[in-house]
Amino acid sequence: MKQLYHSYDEAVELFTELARRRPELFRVETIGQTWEKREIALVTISREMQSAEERPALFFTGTIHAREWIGIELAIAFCQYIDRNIDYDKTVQEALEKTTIYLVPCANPDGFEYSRKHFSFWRKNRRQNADGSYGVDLNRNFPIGFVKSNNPASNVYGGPEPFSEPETRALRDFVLSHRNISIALDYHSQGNVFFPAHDFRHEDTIDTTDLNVLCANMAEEIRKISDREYGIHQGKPPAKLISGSGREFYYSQGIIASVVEVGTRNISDYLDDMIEHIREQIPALLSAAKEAPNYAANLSMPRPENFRATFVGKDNVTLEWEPYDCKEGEEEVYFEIYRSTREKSYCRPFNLMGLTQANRYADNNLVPDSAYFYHIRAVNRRSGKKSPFAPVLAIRTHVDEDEFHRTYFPIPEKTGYVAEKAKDNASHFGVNSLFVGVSESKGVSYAIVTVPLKTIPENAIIKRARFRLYPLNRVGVTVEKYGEWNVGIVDSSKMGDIKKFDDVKNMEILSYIGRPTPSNHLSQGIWRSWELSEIECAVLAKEIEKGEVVLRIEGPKELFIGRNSQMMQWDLGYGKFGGGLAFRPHLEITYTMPPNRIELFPKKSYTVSADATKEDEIVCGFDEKGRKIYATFDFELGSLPSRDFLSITRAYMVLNPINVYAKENIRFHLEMIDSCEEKDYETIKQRHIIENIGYDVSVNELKNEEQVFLFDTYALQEFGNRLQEKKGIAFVLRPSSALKLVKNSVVQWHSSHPEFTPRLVIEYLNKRRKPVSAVNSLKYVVENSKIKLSWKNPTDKDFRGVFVIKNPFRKPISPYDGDKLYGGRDNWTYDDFGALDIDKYYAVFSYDDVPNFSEPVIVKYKAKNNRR
Amino acid sequence: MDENMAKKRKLPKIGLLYLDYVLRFFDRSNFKGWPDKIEQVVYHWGNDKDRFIAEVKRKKIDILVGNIPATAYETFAEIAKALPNVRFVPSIETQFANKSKENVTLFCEKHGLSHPRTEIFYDRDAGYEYLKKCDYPIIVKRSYGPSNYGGYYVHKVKSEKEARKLFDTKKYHPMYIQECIPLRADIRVMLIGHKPACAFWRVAGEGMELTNTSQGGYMAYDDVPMGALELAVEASKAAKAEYWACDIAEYDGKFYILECATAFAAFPYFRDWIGQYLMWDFSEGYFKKPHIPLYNWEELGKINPSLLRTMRHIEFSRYVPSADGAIYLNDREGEWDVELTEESIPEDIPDNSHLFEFIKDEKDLPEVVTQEARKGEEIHEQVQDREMTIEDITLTELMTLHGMEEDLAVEVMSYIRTHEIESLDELAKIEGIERQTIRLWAQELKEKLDINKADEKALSNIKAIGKKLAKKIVEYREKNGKFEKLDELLQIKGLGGKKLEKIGRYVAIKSKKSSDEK
Repeated sequence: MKQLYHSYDEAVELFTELARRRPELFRVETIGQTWEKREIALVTISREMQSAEERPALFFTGTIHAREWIGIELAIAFCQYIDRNIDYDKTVQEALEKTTIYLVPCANPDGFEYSRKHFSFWRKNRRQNADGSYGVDLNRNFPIGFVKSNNPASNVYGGPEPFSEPETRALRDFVLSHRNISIALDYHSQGNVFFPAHDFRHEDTIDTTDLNVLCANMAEEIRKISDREYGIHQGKPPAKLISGSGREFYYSQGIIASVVEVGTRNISDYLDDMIEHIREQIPALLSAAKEAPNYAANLSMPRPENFRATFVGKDNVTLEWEPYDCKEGEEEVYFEIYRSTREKSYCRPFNLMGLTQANRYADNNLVPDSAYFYHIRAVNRRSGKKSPFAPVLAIRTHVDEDEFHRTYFPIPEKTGYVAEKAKDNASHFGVNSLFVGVSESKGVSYAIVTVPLKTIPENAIIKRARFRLYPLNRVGVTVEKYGEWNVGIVDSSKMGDIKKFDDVKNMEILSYIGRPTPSNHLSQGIWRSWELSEIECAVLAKEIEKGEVVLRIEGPKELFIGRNSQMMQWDLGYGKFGGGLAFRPHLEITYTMPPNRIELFPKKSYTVSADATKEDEIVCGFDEKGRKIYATFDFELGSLPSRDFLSITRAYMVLNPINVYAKENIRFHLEMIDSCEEKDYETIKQRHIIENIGYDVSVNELKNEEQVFLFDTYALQEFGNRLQEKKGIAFVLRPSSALKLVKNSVVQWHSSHPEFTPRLVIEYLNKRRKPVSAVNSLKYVVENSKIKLSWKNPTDKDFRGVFVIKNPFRKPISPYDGDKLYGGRDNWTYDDFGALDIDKYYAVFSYDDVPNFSEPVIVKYKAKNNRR
Repeated sequence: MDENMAKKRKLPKIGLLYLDYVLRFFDRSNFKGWPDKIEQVVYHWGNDKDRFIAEVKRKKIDILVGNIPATAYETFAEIAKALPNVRFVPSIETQFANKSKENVTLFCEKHGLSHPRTEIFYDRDAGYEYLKKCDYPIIVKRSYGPSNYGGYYVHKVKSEKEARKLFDTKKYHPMYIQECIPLRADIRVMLIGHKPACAFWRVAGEGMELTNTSQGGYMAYDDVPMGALELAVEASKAAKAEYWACDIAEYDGKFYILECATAFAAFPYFRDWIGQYLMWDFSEGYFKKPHIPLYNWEELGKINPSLLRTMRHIEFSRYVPSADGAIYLNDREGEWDVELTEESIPEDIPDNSHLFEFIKDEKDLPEVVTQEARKGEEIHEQVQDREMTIEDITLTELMTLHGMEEDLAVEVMSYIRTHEIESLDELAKIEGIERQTIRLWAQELKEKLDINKADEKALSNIKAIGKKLAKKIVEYREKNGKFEKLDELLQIKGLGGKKLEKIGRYVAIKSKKSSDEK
């Protein structure tokens, strides 16, 4: 298991040899001594060693935990890769063009050697503690959030005081004396996840987006190599946060810092896994190195401010931000706008939507009722230097005309997991996490999630649906590369007790939904979605009449020899250890209804020719002099339901020809116009066309058949507006010809036949089109060290509830642009984990049953001593 | 004396070192189970040095156990030189910090131990100049004196005016001025064999101006921070102390040594533990090392002190009172019921004013004592540090090495005793010792070359010797035979006293004619 790995001395020898051979590229120095007097080596890579200390730098640390061997191996492989490729590889050249890379391949040589020779899974260093035990967890020995402990034997003992260890002092001294470091990556195993630095508060920091994008870009490089997806998880209360780690210390020094948890084992199978991990991480590291100059403290361009959505429609959004205040001059700067459809996404060339020098950007062609995430950064046109990102902007497009949306959260008492070997499966319901998979201690384990379907009509047609789970800890559970996680709709009419393992195991599945999530796509901190196909949506729709749907989540059921767990932990979002509302599983449904249908007949029809206007007759074509003969018909709209509660999904006109006295090359066009009293030839000729309805038809298509002219979206919209204003509407049938002059060619259409008379068919849903009133009297108080919000709900009949969100950076105009604190009918909520020392905006949106969201009512929380 | 025992294993002869007027820390009862007679030697002050030396020699004492008060420090430094084969426990070097506050500071500085920033002025003008610019408050201490008991000579000073007044009246010399660490409590840590064996908070009384916590307030055994324990361990190892006590301040997450010494007040059971530990050290592992778990004090602290004392009578040995070394008695032969100082009831620790009727006021000390004290006052010395050499290392010293463990130390000791060690590398033969460990120990252990065996090349590697001198030494050895004493090196031309002092750090006489020829 260990022979293919390098010893510490071998590694130092390799680096020394590189530095000897290519002193212009590599340098090796000692930054301190361990307890056992080993020298802690630091490798510098720079294209210009003379000015290495002046260039923005990436700081790499590895193997601070003795058993996490990826660090030292990756450092070796990375240096060798640079050595081999730099002469011809453009990616390498670009990464190093302006960046210096510092590597501490192994920050814990004593522990590493102890791990190699004696105890493979040793974690700490080799200090001799006062009680005779050994070791301090070096990554708990830094001062930020340092926790005192009187238990030196613990595996996470942080030492007697911050920086009590020579290893951490060496890292501190190096970092404090190298202010050119702008990005720090601390390599650990295991978990396939990035853990960006946090500030122990619940709110995102101004650079959370930068941290997430840096990690996401690295993750995308990794996926390129191995199709493995990495998670990104910035710790937030109430999760137990790591204290006293190097990452937070670097971060406290203004450095963008993250932990990278590689692989699924501390000391992995070298040929099978370790080589792959190294191959994955090299391009990821190069992409991070390339970003170092953009985050250099003194060179940095300011990030765009007040990046916000000023309009959100069903398929488009308008984004705005403040004009750029930059000493380099506005014309020198342009902006990059990235769009993605999932949280914590990358910003790569293939999702770069637009470049602009304006401070406004409109994005179109979006899918209704879908989440979008926008990133923006400024770029200096001359130097190519880029600014940090503005905090990510999240929106959700409105539902389409015919659509309604529901997001359902599970019923806590019917949601939990059942494990083969657990004694009290009932106690796993409604609290903490969902464990799914198999482990030695739990045996096979399933999760049951029961989702209510109460507010959705039984005859609803589900168009789209997805079930989402938030993956928690992958580090503790050591998921290997095998197995998949499936979600199935349970036949609840035949099922037994959902809290009994055997009953759950024997459940009949009506349909599995979405694609399974394979083990290498389980990414901590990034939502997993199971998207339902149309067929699966239909299965789900059948459950509506039962008022709820029972989902069973299952994972792998077998353990290989030597493995004791293949178990995934998902947040349940309830209970003391659950992450709360923001991390609760949910089922999103977009549905429509079978439409209502109404047919309107013309109040009057006219044929308008140059010579005369004839009522109740529809003839269209060319007269004996070759002049056009128009037909027109007026409709009254007063019989339709109120536009505010009517959503038109489809409209079309039907006309039937009687006699065709025409040549082949005549075509007929139907136009929508505002109705008017005068039906004389001149007025019709001067008409204002609102929109053409459908396509033109030719004479030879008529053949006594019914002609359907379908409204397009614009026509529907304009029609809707007329309906709103209760104005009449009219249509004009206009002929056209390919020849310059056509005489005596007309088509006569039915005008009063009971069956064939012209009719305007409208399909519609009874759907509220405007939001209910907003809440009022929104205010906050600090109560028991928590921020409590209260407001007055509107009295509208269709009021269904409110969304309460917070955003520490800007006034949110979309109910999805922030952390959701509450959804429901109450008139108060706590911000349970909100930091009292951070300014922030709270926004309350009221909604109806579509839902349409009201304009937000916003209150700014003003901290007494704002920390940012 | 048990004859069989002695045959099985030759144990060193122990002598207890006492001084007139000075409370006795140990007595024989603390060495329960020691098979041989334990001698006593009493120092009577004045011109008693030679007689004392003669008595130690006559009684064939190998190890002298006892604390030396600051007043007699210089005298005993001389006595120790005259008795090169007697091991003083604690060693004179270990007791260096006992002598004065200045020595505490020097000791901390030398070993890089965290200590409040301290300025010491022998030049009064420079000192008064410093008082003008320093930040207040400051702590002023009398550095040296016959008795520093009870914190009477520690002052918290809030302004330059106050400071000048203090120095004008008290005439403290040198001027010992320390940064004031704001605290309401400090931590006393007592160690045996570099292991914390007892620790507690000493909390100042309500409304007390806290300078030294030995007056007023109460003690608490709970939650003594690991940082204080570790700092105390570091100090104990630096001092190579068999037993040791530190007063430590915690401020803003950092720890600082305020005081450290081998002399301290301790419960009788605690002195038993020290006795047992010393027996392990003296017997080189024959007697078991007492097992003293960390944080035992949190439990023992709950026990009524009178029960603890009684249990000690039952379990360990007869109760005989003793106290720390620098408390003077009216009665020269003095017996004194010291036990009252040890009760952890609020009114007796640290408020122990009721004890002072037994203690001599400094001005009433016998002339012999004060005279000796004046001798020490004049001496402003270099920090003393006994260098560890492989041939005369003790278990307590071995235990200062990184990665050393109790059983391994006994093993190493036994190896040293049974082998002529030429190089530390030989220790690699012992199971469990790796090359890196030896490399590490070599930096801490001054491995001296054997002047009688080292070849020219090895000698010339020593900076202080060099090529030329190495050649001369080897020539001299070849001509005159092996060196008996290092002083013989002075016979070599071009090698003077100063040079010898330097060379002495790197070479030793490890093999002599006599022992070789036997």
